[in-house]
Amino acid sequence: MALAATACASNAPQDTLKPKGPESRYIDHLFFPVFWIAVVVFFFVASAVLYCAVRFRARPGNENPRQVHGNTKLEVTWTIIPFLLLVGVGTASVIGIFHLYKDPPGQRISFVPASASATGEPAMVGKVLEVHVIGHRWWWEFDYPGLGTMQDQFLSPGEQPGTALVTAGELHIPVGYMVRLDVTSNEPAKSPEGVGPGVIHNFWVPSLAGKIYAIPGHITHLNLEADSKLITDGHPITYSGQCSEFCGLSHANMRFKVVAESPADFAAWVANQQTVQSPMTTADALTSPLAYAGYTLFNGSGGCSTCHTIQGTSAQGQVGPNLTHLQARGVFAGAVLALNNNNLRIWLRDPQAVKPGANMRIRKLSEREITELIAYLDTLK
Amino acid sequence: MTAVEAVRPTSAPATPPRFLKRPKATDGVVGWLTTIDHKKIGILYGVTSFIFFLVGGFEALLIRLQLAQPNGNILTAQVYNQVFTMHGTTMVFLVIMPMSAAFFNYLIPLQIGAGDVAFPRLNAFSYWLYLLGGAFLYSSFLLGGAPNGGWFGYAPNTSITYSPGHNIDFWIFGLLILGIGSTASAANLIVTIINMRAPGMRLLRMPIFTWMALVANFLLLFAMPVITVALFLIMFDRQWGTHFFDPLAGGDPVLWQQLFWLFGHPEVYILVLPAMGIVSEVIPVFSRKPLFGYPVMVFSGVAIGFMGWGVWVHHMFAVGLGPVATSAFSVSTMLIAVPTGVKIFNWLGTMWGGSIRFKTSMHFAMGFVVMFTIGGLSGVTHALVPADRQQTDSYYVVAHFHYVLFGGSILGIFSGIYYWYPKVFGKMLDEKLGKWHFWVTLIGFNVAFGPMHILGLQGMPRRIYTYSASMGWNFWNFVSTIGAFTIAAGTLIFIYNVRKTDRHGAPAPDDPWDARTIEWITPNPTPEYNFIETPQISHQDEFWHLKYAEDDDGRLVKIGESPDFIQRRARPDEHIHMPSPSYWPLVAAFGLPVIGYGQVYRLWGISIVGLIILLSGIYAWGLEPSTEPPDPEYPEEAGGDHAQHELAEPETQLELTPAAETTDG
Repeated sequence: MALAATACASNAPQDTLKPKGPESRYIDHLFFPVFWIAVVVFFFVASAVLYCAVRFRARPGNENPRQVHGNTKLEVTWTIIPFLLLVGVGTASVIGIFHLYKDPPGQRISFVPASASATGEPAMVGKVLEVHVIGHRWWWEFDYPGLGTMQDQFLSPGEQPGTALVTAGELHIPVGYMVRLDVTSNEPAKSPEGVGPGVIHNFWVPSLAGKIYAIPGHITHLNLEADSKLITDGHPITYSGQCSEFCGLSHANMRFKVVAESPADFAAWVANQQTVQSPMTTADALTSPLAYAGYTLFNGSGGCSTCHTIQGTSAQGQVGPNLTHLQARGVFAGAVLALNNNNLRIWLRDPQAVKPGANMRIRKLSEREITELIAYLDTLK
Repeated sequence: MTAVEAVRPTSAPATPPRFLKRPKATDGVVGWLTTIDHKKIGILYGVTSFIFFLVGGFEALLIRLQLAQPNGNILTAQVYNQVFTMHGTTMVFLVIMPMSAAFFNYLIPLQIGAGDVAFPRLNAFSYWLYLLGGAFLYSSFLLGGAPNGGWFGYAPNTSITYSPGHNIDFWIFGLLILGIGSTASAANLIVTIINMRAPGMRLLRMPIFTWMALVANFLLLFAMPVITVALFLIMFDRQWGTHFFDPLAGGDPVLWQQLFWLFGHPEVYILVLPAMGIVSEVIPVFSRKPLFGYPVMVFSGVAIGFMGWGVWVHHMFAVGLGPVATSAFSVSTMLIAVPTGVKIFNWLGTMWGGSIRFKTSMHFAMGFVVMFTIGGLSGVTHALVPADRQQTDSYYVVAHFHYVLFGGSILGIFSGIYYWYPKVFGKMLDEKLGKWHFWVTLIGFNVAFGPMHILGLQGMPRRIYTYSASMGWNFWNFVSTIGAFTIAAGTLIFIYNVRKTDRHGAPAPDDPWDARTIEWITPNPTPEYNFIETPQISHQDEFWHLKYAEDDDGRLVKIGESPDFIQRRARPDEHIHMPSPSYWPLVAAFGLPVIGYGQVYRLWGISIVGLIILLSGIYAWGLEPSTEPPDPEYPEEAGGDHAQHELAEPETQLELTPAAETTDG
């Protein structure tokens, strides 16, 4: 009982017992009755054992117990009752399974930029947000089709990629809308680990839904939605998630955040993501010399552009996370580190120290070089 | 000495070259290395698996030290991944399975009234494969790193691309070596149980432990080939350029999961059925009542054995296999809870109305009943698929399987150790120390694993080497670590008990527990030849029925005293001819790890040497007669294998029948 009480009183960002959306709430409503039935059965068995231990203890006078070999009526009863109970739980399970696999009906969300919008603000049209989730070693990629580029395997024949909306580590969603996740796993062709299909990961944001595997060569699906009534002051709520299938050295460091925000904020985020940065020019060398030096380093001897993409610049690497609009995120490095200059420095000094095995294998950077890079990264709003 | 010349000819047509004389020792190092006696082999399995229990437990303590605090730095990620992989692999393949084998080997022939198993040299071969396979696996720590892909080895993470070292190769070949031993042992024990029962021992008169052992060994026989196939496929992918699990070339990672769990689920019933058998023996003895519903206990065990093949996808409920497949396995998993739950009620029914003696063995058996119930109930919550989408791959599952495997199998095994200790070693383990062992272990176990239910429900995934301080998991992880060290303390108490008993323990009396089954008809410790005369069986719980009858009210009426039935030789100095020890099982077994090293390092020369050792060993084994002719030094053996040996007075009610022949292969 104490355990249960403590569990309820906890403050855990990935708590499954405090659902923040209809999908996780559905699960919670199924789990709790079954949990309490299990508790009752346990108490019955434990009490029976304790009762026997006390009442039927060997003592003078009861050394010759009646030799009962069985009792057919009793045995049939205690077979049928659990069977019926389990049929009930099984029925609930099957209904729940079909619920989990439902493809949410409704038009997929598309984006109306401010220029075309009636209100003059960027807006969304549609009911269901579709996002493609791709697990990599050891970070999560989020692609918004229709709002930007799709990864190759999701494109229909003849379909062209649109403007880039590829991001990593943070999944932005509008509250009150169903989100349909198409989930898979792969590794870039130029990964330092060599050509390979990737490994199995598991996408889990407990506050909002159960988990779903991300399997190379397969596309799995997960529905989730964040409660809108939880947004009371207009600020987004951030939910924590984590990979839940052992995937190698930094499995523990493959985390992510789900940022649930008002539809207006979400549309503004999309609008920002769709603005294209311009590459830095020599004019910037005078106004922001540190950032310009960082930009040069990024695309030059630092080697960053071989793996990272910053849309609008010559950095088009397809190995590591897309860093366009980096400063719009709150976390980085597999959502292990909060995004701030201090953490960026720690990371750039030695990525392997933060994430053992990380595929970001860079040369040793001097403190000066790190300062320059951070100054450049700070400009990626 | 004409009687000697009249002895049956040996099975070999001509005298084969013998560069090694047939060993004769039954003691000392040579005696143990060449033994084919099921009792010695059982002891070997038991001692070896206990040592691996300490090793696996040490690995568990390392894990708990690392996870006691957030951002722990006791172990690096590289080391942690090896430690958690080896903890699981050790506990499943090197502890619980062989510990069950220890009980199977020692007890099955005695419980069915036989002189040994059907194939004694094959039996020794299985043991040596276990020891050498375990050593092979552990040698990896010194040879570049232990297996680090989890005990379940999911592809493609275990492919050569993502696991480039030899770690996984050691895992593959180690498990293949162990698998050969298990499969051979399963076949051996099944043949023994089916063919070598004493006259009158119909299947439904067999002791319940032997029944559960029969089911478990059938499961082994069919499950080991499945994992063997899976291991060959991943080995081909890693070493021979195939792509069974590589979707870039038409393969499928889910295939690995299907094969692994098709093995893996029957495997967990292999792990728990023997302990259920043990507990089903212990509870009736210490309640002075028969097992409630013996036929149902048999049939539920058989049902679990069959149904256990139809639930494996419940390890894959989050894989997205589609609603129909997922529903089918959710329902089948719910249904298998019925025969499992029925057993719990039958154990309660056995204790109810009994006269319960609280020996240590009974403490552990009752602990099993309660702890296994908890694990079984959390299993039912897993069968509820939407809930399992939150629970799977979290610490909630870790809690579940430790409750059934530690709270179940390990507690059951300790119950068996305390119960049969006098039979095996001729001494009684100290009861006071035993009770301390029990309570410290029970409390430590619940403190270690109870909180893991909470951690799982609070979103902590499995198999992570560390976690951040802001997740809300700090407190219960710390508590769990304290529990783990408490279990260690309990284990130390047990070791002390064994040592104290070995040095100062008084000899055990015959039939110390007033038991029910015929292994107790032999003196303690069991003599080398088991039975002087094969018992004639006319009841289930035959020994009990020799001592007690029931009156009309169902109460016991004593009709015989234990000492009347304990089989002692009339002439203690008399030499009884036994099947002969042999070097060849050890020699042949030795070939396999040599082949294994050759394959790990792709050095064909070494593999060929190993193959030669294996084949020569088997060839020599085949040419050697199963039993040497009787020794001319002992004239009383003149009648050959069918010599009659007299029982000591007083006369028993047993019918005199010739000792059962072993059919050695």
